[in-house]
Amino acid sequence: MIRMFCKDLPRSLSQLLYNEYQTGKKELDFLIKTYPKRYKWIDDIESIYLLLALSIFYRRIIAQLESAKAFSDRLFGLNIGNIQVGVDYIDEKVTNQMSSAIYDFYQFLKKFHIFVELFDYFDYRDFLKNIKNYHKILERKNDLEANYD
Amino acid sequence: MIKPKSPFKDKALLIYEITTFLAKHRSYIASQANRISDYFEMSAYNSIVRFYENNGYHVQAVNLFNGSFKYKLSPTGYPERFSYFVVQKEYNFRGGKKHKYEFEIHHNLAVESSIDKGIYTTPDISVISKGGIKSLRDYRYFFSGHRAYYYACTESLQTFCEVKNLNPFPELLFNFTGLVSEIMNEVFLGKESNSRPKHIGPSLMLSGNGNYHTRKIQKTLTDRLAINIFFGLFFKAAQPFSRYYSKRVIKIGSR
Repeated sequence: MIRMFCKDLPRSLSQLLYNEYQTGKKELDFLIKTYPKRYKWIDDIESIYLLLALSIFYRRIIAQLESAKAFSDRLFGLNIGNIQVGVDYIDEKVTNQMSSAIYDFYQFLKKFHIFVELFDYFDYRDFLKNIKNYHKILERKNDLEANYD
Repeated sequence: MIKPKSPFKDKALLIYEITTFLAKHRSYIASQANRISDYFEMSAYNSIVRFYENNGYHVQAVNLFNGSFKYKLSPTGYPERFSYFVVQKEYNFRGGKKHKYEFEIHHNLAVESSIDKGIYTTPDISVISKGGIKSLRDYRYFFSGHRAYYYACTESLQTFCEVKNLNPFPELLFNFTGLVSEIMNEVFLGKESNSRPKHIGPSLMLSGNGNYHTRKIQKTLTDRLAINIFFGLFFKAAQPFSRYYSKRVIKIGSR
């Protein structure tokens, strides 16, 4: 699952994502195998892997872009044209690209009723707990829709 | 009504959405790859500035280069070649006297130990009194004396913050108290100043969220010492420094 996120990214970043995903996947497999009763609600492990990959992508990339945007917004508010970070510059054009990436990411999360709090976990037990709650909310929404129809 | 999409039932659609998103933004993300890790520190720096702004300070970015804010990425480099923030606050005293306090918020600036002179360490963010930077040119220290070493002297350091893009773990939390003991020993001994203007207490800012054990450590350390330990700044980067929550932030007086 993580491969689609890693494709064409520089090795330093793709390796970070890949390693984190592999660690998480192993941990999830272990938890699900060890506590089958607790995790019997999981019927499609591939979806869990997909959400894991998405969470890593958010935490490692999108959250960082949001941070940079908050800082650049402050400086642009003080009428400063750009920020020099090493040899790179963060100017209005770069910030617009950041905003566009952040906005598009949130748009597709919205389609699936995914809130970023889903990605707020300390360990993989927490992650599965968040997913379980999300799963419940989706089921409840589906039931409501069915009753409405 | 439109049925809500579910990654459990519409997995192919989610994959399609992700692929579309990546196709559009992949080249931009790849171009930012080398800077991604710096962005979290940037956000922490921004949060500290925000804290001062919300506490009645006037904020100004200084030392700009052709209108550009030059961000200091590493401890090396002369501070005068990088931009930083100056925060000012004016107090009206009895008898019509006014006094303006000015502090500088630096990033990656070395500070001197408060216990022994001549030893230095570099916290990620340091708040110092205006003009508190000194230099040292000693062949026994850095680059055989060919380059000056700039640092903030103990008296001028008001507070500091350490930023880690990590999940909290016990050793990391306890190590921070060692840093407090070395850089601001009076805070470690519970003898910190109480005089105005107030600063944020020495802070450890972590991106990851804590579990029960680390939260317990966080509580005991912040109860014992005038320090702050912030968790989960991935998701609520600005929240602890907002006007509402800043009341809960532990503050110390100026030196």
